[in-house]
Amino acid sequence: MERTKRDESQERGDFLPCRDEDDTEHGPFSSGLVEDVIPHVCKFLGPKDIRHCRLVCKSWNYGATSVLKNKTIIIIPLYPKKCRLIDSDETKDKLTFAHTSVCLVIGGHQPIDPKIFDEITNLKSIVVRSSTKKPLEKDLFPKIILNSASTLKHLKFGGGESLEFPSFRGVVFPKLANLDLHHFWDEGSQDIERIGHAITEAFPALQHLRIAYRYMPGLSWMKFLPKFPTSLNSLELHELLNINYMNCLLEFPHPLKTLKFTSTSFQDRVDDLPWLFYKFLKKHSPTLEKLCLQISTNRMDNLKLNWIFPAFPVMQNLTICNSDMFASLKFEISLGNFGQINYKICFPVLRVLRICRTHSIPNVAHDLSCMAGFLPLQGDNGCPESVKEVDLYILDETLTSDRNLVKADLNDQLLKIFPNAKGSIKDVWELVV
Amino acid sequence: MPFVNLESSDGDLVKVDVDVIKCSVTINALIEHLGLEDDNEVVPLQNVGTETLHKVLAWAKHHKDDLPSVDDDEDDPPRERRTDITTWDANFIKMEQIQLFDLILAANYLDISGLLDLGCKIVADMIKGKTADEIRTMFNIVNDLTPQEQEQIRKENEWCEEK
Repeated sequence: MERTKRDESQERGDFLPCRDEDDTEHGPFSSGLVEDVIPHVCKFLGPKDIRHCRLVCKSWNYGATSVLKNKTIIIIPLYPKKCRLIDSDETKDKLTFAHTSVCLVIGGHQPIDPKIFDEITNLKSIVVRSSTKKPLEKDLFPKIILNSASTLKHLKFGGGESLEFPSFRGVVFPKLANLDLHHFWDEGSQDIERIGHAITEAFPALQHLRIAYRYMPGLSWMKFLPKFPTSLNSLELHELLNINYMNCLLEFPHPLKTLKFTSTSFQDRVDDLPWLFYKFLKKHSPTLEKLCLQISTNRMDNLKLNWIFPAFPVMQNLTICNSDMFASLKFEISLGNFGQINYKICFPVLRVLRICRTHSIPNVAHDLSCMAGFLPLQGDNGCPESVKEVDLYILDETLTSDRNLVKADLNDQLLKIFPNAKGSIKDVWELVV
Repeated sequence: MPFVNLESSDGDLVKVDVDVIKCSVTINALIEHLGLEDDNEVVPLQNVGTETLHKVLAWAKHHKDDLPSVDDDEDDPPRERRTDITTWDANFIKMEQIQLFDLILAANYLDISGLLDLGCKIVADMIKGKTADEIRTMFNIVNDLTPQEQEQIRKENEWCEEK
């Protein structure tokens, strides 16, 4: 009787736990609560291990599948693969499994039957990539995106040549919160105009924008920047920054809570860099909760910058990479006056501090000098009481036999300075920004 | 200092400082719901045995001054979680498998995210690098997947590509 019930429920697609009352010798992971816990366990596993978990039993499969989908991407080529018959069944199966999150790849072959996608109108996350210089069918992916306009939350244009940003004129994506734009190699002003239009009119609920910096000057010239939606409070810029146009960032109209410069580098006029950054950060300092600076200059002469930071009254999370790029580091103690860091004034509510010293300079990893700018004066009342977590990435290959000793010693030094923090010294960089 | 009485599934009463057990979302909600006028209020915990309850309370006491954990951006898909465990936690969590699972299930039931994470990290470490067969043997699990279902899962696994 019980078996029948179970079989029925499996046909409906929801799995019952593999519980069997006669069989008490099963381990606790056979018990009914397992589905609740398996996703938590899988959070700490990589895709390879999660794939194994799915094959353990029904309830593990049930618990692990959604985590695997979150951590991976399901790629749907919009063209038939070479040396294969047109396999629309597999595309359909993949779409069913992918549920609401797909990565569409356009290629140089004739596209697959577009009818497959006619009924796909509930996608929440779409990534678009191109696998070729001359994609044949460029109209299919915009159509798929437009079909899901009412549900789409996350849209990403990944790398790849010859992608064109589609026109979303006359369409509103009411739920689109997250837009991620890598640069298209041969983008023209038409792309930038379409991007500007999409951000200012089609995506009224946009919260997070990750964009190649190269688009910002164009968006500024076309007067789009001041019209960005008020909901937009998180900006991430990447790739090469042209410092000559950095002032266009000041046109960003609404207060930002999150700002990240990831893998950005500068060429010329780097001497002006600290002041240009200061002006931009100062504008958003009253609201900024999270800041990540992963910047570098591609000058080979070991240029060191005299850097200044405004005070950040609500900053919770600060990540600074290349900390050895600063010749000096000063903080705004009172309006226009800069000095040694005082956490009570500069970062009164900071919780997480991450410093990474990227350049490997042998034998200097034995003290905290690479984060000197962030160490308060001894006996000063600007003690970093609010900081709960300090991570220092030393990335020094010369740390060999006594690696763990050095790390433990550095950790002790850190904890003396940050009395309430959980410290950690790492020698492998993981970008948790 | 307000107290609350917790009753384990074995019927034992444990008087607990509310400040210590506030990490439990479940108990917090119950306290708010019941109010705390009466110090003799008893909260029955049908799914938590006495031994496990004492372990939970030991953990909660040690961590009572922790701030609630902030998740990284909801925008970002969760990456590999941070896996470092403090020395105190590492010593605390050294126990038999059966006790570990009871603790995880209790943390899940009481909704204590820090303790649930700790237990799950330990289980994740046990799983790392093992095949499905080895996992089943380790935890004494019976494979109830049909060969067709396994074939389907393998196919789906291949579709999931690294980001």
